[in-house]
Amino acid sequence: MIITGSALFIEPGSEKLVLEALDRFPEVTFQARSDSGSELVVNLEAEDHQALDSLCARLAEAIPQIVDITHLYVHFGDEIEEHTNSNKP
Amino acid sequence: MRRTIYWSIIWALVLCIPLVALAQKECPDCDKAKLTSPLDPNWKQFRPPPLAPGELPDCHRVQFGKQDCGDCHMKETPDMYKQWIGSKHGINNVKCGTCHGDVVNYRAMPDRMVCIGCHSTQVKNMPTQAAVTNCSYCHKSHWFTIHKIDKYKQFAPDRETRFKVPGF
Amino acid sequence: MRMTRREMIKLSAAAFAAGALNIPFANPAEAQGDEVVVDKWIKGACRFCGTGCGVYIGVRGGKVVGVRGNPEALTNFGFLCVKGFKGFLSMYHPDRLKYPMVRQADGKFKRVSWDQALDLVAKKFKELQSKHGKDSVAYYGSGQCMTEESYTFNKLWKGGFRSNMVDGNPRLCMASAVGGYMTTFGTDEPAGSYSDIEKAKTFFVVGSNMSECHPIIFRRIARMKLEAPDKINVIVCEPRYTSTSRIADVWLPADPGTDLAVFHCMAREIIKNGWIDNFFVNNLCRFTTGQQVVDFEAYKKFLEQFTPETVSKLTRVPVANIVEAARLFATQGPTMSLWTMGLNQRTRGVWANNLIHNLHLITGNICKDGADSFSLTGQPNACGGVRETGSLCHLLPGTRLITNEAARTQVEKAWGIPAKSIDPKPGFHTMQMFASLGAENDTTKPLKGMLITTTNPGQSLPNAHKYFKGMEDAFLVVIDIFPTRTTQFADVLLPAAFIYEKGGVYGCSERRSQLTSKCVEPPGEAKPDLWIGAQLAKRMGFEKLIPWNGDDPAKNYQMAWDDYRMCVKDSEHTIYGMTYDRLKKLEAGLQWPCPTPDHPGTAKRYVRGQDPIMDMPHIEKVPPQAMIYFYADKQHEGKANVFLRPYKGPEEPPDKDYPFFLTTGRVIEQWHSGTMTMRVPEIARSQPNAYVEIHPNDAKQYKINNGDMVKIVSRRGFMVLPARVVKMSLPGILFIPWFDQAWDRMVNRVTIDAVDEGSKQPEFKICAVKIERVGDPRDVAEMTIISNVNDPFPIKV
Repeated sequence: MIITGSALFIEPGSEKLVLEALDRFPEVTFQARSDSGSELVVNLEAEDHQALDSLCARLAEAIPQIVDITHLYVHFGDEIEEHTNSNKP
Repeated sequence: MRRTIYWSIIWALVLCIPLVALAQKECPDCDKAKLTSPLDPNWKQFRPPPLAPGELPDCHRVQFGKQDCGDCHMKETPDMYKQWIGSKHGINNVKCGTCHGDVVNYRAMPDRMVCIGCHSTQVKNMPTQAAVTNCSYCHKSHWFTIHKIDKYKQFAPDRETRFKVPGF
Repeated sequence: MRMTRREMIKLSAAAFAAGALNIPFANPAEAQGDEVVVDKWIKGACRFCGTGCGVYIGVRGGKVVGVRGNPEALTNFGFLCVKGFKGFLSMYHPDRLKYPMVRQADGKFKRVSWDQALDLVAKKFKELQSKHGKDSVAYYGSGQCMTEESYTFNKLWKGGFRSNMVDGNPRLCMASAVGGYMTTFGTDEPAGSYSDIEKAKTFFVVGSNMSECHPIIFRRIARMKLEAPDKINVIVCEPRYTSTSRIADVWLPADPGTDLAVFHCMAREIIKNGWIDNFFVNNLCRFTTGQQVVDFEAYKKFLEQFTPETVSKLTRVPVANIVEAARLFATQGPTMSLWTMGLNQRTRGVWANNLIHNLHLITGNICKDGADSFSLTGQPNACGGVRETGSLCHLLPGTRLITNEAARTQVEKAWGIPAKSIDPKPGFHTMQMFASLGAENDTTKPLKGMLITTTNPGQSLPNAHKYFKGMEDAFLVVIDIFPTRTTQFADVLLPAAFIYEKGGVYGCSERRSQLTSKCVEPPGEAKPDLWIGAQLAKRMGFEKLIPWNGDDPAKNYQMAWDDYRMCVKDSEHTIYGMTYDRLKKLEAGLQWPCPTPDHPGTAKRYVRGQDPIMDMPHIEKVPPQAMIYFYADKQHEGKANVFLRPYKGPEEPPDKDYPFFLTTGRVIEQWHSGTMTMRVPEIARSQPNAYVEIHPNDAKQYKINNGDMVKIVSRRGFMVLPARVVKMSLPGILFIPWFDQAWDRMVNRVTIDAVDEGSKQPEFKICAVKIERVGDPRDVAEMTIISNVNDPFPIKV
């Protein structure tokens, strides 16, 4: 399970629209916004890397006002243990 | 987009470690709570629980013994020690135990009830709704000198030659 | 609301992201679990050194759970040292004394009721007084008692028993500073305040390791120095290279006891270079040898013998350092001097104090913003509680001399006792008191009984061996919160309340009084000293004199305070305007003189416009045109004395047989004899035992390695403790901190009990010793405390 703290960079003035659209994504939790309204802080939750990538792709596609998504903090949960315990390079 | 994700994952991997610790405050393996007094002879039997990868919990990983914190950390974590002694805390003799406590109340990351002892205005100014209330989360551990490192260098402890006292 | 781990991670992640984006992050979630919630924060003062830090005591469920600095206090601005911050933990140590106890025939203590204990003490004291005279029972108090308590015991003894056998541990710590101020200015305590620190440009720190002993005042100076390293100058005069020296520009490493020559030499340099203040020299200085008034020329001539070269040879301070110190002191002002035990605990303590005042007077570095000659007190209430209430054998409330008839008459009137009932003859000072203490059948010992409170002479008297027997033989009543080396000699043990279990007023170094409110109940049957004093008074027939014996402790303290306020109303130490209500409301307390309930307090004395006494002719007459006037001058000329004190070294300099200087001192964590601080884990760990600091050159010569056990021998006794081989002083000087109560490491078995002839303060700081390696490193990190009241004293006395 991956939990991120991510920034959504959105088009100025589109905040309300984006927040409404985000309601349709249960994996996304809105947390904070900048004063300018062009940056949102959200949590994204996904099973693994692939799921996270696909979530981002779906978000970008469904909400055209999103300019960019950047993960500023990633909690890897159990995945990191799997990595360290496995012999995969 | 994909490249951004990977770049930030690597960055986050480095940065998230202390936060993981913050999240895993409860330590079911740890028998620390059983100790009541620091003068309790039981502290000698204390064995730290195994450390999960990346975990940095609120227990001192090495037995304290009777040693003064500084004596050991001077050798074991010299960079940290140098940072401390060169800082305002070092100049003003605010030593390890003042913030980190002792065997029974040890904290790797002292919380704001420790900071409030001296910095009560700053603690008061913290938004009551702040999600992270641990001061050292932003005011990084021992890097007190980050803004003023050049200034503090003038007061390094081993500059006694400046007094030009023969025989000293 | 308790968060799940998942929510916690999410919040942390979001907070991090928000932080990185500089977005204010306020989440409607509840506060997290690491907060100690308190029911209330109660305003008070710190229990430890003389800085007088303002604190707030956090109380939850009737227990003290935390202490935080009060940012609005004008002493510490919210900062605390480790003692202030953690020291309160000792309140809940299991060793707290909870019940009155009386020693039985078998030598063991037995619990008794308060009535039994107090009746016994009253009966025994009365019996001794009737058999051996009114002066056969002494009171030995402390600079850590509340002002109201010291005042009460002082009143009971001097006004009730008509006996001046009242002294206290400030005799061991501040007496020479009192002597210095009294002889130079005619009245006790500094002219300036801590607020001068922020206005000063040069600091002369002498005989004080401020960074460890007054860390919060040191912080104020260090802060100035760090902000402007080129504009602020710090001179440190002190045989040890302490952590205070880290911020120093000039270090004057004078051998212990030789610094009188350094001060005279600085004065000589100042005059030679024309750096004097002519207005001060012509109008405000009286040059005197102590016996005879002389002129400035005579002073100049007297100083001629103290050339930098001669003084350098005598003291080991490099010539260039003395010259530079004089230059900085006189030309880079305003200059503030700060000192503590390094000057006071000396056989020439008063003189050393005088010579510092000299430097300030001839350069005009006093009574101006940022310029002051400022003595720091060691104890939280030595100034307020003992010096100001006159709880010493030669004083009356308002630091007035007991030999002064007018002062006696004023006090007799205030106390409502018949004229001429106060004995004009001073009682015994501390050392004489303990030397005179003994068994009832010992005709050579006039003192037969003693009440000791809040101090530990069993550990803190110099040349301790000499005084154990007196304490053992006499009828000794001890009020304390823990078993100590002194309770081991006690016949009656009365359990006391901690400051936060009773409240009261503390007065710090800068004439500032601060009120602590009671926060919690004392454990068991422990009682405030004030209650004990008043109950004793009642049982001995002095209920009228000490009427504050009711059931409401807060009211008792206020009554005692008001009585004291009235008693010093018309003295130049007036605190009449400091009502309890004001002290309760004000965050920072008040500084005396404070003559009226609307007076804001006085930061600077002797200056018109600031000091109210300048315009109160019924207290002191000051000419209307004078802007600065030392009104307490005994000659009524408004001048301060500049003394031509001859050079004299320490009482016991090193010689062939005892080749080392031994100097004693303190460490930041431990307080005095360690009875409280050694019970706080963080503190005990940092300093679990005493040690001796020895220079690497000396260590090499004696084949001593770091940690080796060494024996320190003086003409009076010996001790065994680990060596710390470290470059902390010039070779030939050893240092031992005195907090350790372990018998092997009690430094006062070795120290000398020679006293200053004026102040009667002993020379704790200097004696001659020899040293010998006795063994390999041994684990002595024992954190020694006396846990059991019935533990016998380590030796047969």
